[in-house]
Amino acid sequence: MSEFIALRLREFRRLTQDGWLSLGFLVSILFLAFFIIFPLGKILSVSLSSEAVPVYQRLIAGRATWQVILNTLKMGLGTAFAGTLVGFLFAFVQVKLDVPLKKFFHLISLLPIISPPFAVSMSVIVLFGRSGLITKDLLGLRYDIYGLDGLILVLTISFFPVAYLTLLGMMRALDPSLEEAATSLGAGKWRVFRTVILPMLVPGIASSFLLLFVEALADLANPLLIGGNYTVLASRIYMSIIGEYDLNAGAVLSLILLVPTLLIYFIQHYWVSRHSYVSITGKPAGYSRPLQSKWVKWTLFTVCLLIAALIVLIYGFIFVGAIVKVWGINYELTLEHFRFVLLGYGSKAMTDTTLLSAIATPIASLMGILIAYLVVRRKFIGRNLVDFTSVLGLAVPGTVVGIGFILAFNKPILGGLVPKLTGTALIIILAYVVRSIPASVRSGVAAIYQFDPAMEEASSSLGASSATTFQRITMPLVRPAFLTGLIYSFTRSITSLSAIIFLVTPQWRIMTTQILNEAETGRFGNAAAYCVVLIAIVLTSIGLMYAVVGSTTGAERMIDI
Amino acid sequence: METATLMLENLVKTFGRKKDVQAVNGLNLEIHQGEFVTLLGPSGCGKTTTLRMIAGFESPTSGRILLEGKEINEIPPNKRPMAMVFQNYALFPHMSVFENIAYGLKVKKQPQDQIHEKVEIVLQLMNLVGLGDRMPHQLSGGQQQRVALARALVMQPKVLLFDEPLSNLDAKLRVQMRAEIRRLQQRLGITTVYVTHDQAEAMSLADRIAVMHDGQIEQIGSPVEIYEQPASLFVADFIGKANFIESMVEDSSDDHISLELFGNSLTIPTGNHTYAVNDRVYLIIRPESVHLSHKEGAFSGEIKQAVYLGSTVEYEVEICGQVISVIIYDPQEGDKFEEGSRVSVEFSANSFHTLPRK
Ligand SMILES: Nc1ncnc2c1ncn2[C@@H]1O[C@H](COP(=O)(O)OP(=O)(O)O)[C@@H](O)[C@H]1O
Ligand SMILES: [Mg+2]
Repeated sequence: MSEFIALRLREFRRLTQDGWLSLGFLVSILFLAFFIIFPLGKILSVSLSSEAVPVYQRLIAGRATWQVILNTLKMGLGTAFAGTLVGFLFAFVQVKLDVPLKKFFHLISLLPIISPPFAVSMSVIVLFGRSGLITKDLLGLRYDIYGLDGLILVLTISFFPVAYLTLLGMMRALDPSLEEAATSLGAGKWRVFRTVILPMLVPGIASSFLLLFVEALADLANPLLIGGNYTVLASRIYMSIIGEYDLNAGAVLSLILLVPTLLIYFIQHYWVSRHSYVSITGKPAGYSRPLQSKWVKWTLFTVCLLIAALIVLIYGFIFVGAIVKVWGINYELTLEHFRFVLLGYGSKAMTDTTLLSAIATPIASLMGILIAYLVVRRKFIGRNLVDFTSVLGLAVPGTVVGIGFILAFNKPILGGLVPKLTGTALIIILAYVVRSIPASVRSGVAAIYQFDPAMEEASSSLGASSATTFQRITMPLVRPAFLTGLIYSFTRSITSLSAIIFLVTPQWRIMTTQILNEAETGRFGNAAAYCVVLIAIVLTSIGLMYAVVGSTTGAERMIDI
Repeated sequence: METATLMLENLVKTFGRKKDVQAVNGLNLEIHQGEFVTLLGPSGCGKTTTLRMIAGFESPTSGRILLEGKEINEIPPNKRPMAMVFQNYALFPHMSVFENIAYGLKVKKQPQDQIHEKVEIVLQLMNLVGLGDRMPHQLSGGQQQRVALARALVMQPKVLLFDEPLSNLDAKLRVQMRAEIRRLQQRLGITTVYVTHDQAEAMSLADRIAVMHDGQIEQIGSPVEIYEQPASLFVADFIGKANFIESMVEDSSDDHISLELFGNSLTIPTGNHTYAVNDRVYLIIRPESVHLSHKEGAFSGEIKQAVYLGSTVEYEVEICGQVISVIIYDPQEGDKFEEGSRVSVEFSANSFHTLPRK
């Protein structure tokens, strides 16, 4: 036992002997503890305290609660199913079919990742709503898009890229010789697909399904806009905070949302990945012969094309919305919406949001890489906990993060050492960082696993300290992942709504909440202009980050197939 | 008495949460100044782990590592005056050949002109002149290997460590690099520990070979000792091929023992072990020490299998129910033997060797 303790102590002493690297580790770990563990703990303690008892009584008594939970589940399952299906289709077409437009399909599937919230919903409402351009004007239907069907449509479009990228990686990594082996043993094409390919992809499919389910549950923007009377947990939480000023109810509802979300997230994270037959290395395993059957090939291609066309229509239509007088009604051209965003009221939101995101981005990326390095390369007893906590920022729905932040930081803590943070720009930056770290950690972990630890050992053997090795060897080698982290962080930050919606104050205007204001009050034109500007900012920044950090990167490879 | 540069005392390393993987299991080794020692053994016997403990990348679970008499267990790898050459070379892909070689000197903050001078010297030494500006991926495998070696040598380490450095090269290049490493080591006189699972490599390089088995050193000695006087069945079997013939001691004097061999009696020098009458032993004989002929001889056997390999023929011969491996060199010169034919078998009397049998 004492030997055990001595060993652990020795591990910890090693961690502290790395100069500024140790400082980085310390800061990162403290950050996780203080801005992830502490706020979540706060939600737990509030929602399990005696003050929360009346909330539970009210919730259990009210039939509406059960309806909300049921609604949430239906929405989650519907999105997970449809999104995985579309993602699978796009990945399959990409890897197994010899058809034109593959690069176009790939880029189209990346579009929703950088898209601001509300964009898809607004466009879909104007296109397919009660007085929609297509439903009413073109087809003469009286169709009500508000509710479950509309929600599943927009959520599927918003989140299928998650499934697509997961399955794309897996299908690429499938060894074609397995397929050839099955074929040479006499199996037909369909049988090979059913008995060899599909079973190998089951973990990927399961993992996509679970991730989409969680994403759908956590989404706030779309239920607010296109949900109509169809209330789900996320929008219910929003109402209890913004409409009813009831933090206790918010905390309790957060817990209800948090438990299944976390459960599923970690099933996905630990169980599914352990039952995976395919290891994703990023390198294609070989060249698989494209599917030959013309009939299957062109059917799948057509479906893919239709979906891609729908996405193009939706995003293109946002641009239309930004430059016409009254979107959906009066299609006279105007620049007044852009004037409002670029020069008028919106210009502060634009600069504020960009500034805060730009501050959060390098912090999140750097901490992400440090945590990844710590988790992959160092042995110490809290390693799994650090790993686990670092993904919490993404696993936990944004609304829950927001409420946790209010509960934790609405008064000075640690005896005034940390002042009250709510109402400041700092708390928004912190929320951005919390939301962005997981992606940086993931891409960092993947990158660090990719290169031989002997490289760092060689450096060490040549006399370099850990800090020097990290700076001269590790950092240059993970630069692509670092850039990917930067891009993800910036995109996530600037487009995030749910985590900061409860934290914004009039001093600092955030574009996503401005979009919500405009859209809720029916000024879709301004909202659309915001969306277009936001997309432009994201694309410009990605270009800038390439230029500054370098060009041979994973992100580039992701776009460049 | 010569002092050992590097001493490993009772070194133990366990892995796993339950400490259930015994990678190194009480290993003792002394390596002298300027000596070239190889750690030889099958895969998984703990060679790499031992080397990594010497380098400082793993810390021993127990035991001591001494460099020039001082314990270095707690000294981190970057503070040890050693340099390691890795199996996959571990060249830094984002640095040129020159920068790779200069890396350690830069870390040591040596002046720029000295760095240049030293790098130029090793580039020359390693036949790499003119390649300084290349990136690692622009080099052939052999060149990469030389850069890795140059990068280690430029540090003028007290101990040079190698972990299977030649295993990624093709057979011809491997033999060539082997000679080059030996030549350099002799010339620079650096104490060297070299891990390999290839016995030819170990034999051709080492002053002494430490044969490892299950995390321990089974035998240490010069290549000749290891081959001609294997201390255990494992060593005899691992180094080259060997026939093990079960036998019993019939008579024992001070310097000779008599044994039963296929119904005949055989008297041989006692060797390293002392036996009493009726002790059970293995008689060990190498395949190349067995001779076949069509003439009448002491033993008669039947050829079970003949495999023609060009420079040699390998036979499996059954004598009194036991199968013996035989290697005949220069098959164009002597007789050939058909499978199924009967032959007479002779053993070189001085080539026998015994080990106790439980
Ligand atoms: N980091 C590690 N964790 C767990 N087991 C290990 C680790 N490194 C080596 N081992 C185990 O220790 C034993 C010896 O390994 P190694 O020293 O690499 O052998 P060799 O180099 O002789 O092939 C093996 O059984 C191996 O599986
Ligand atoms: Mg090894």
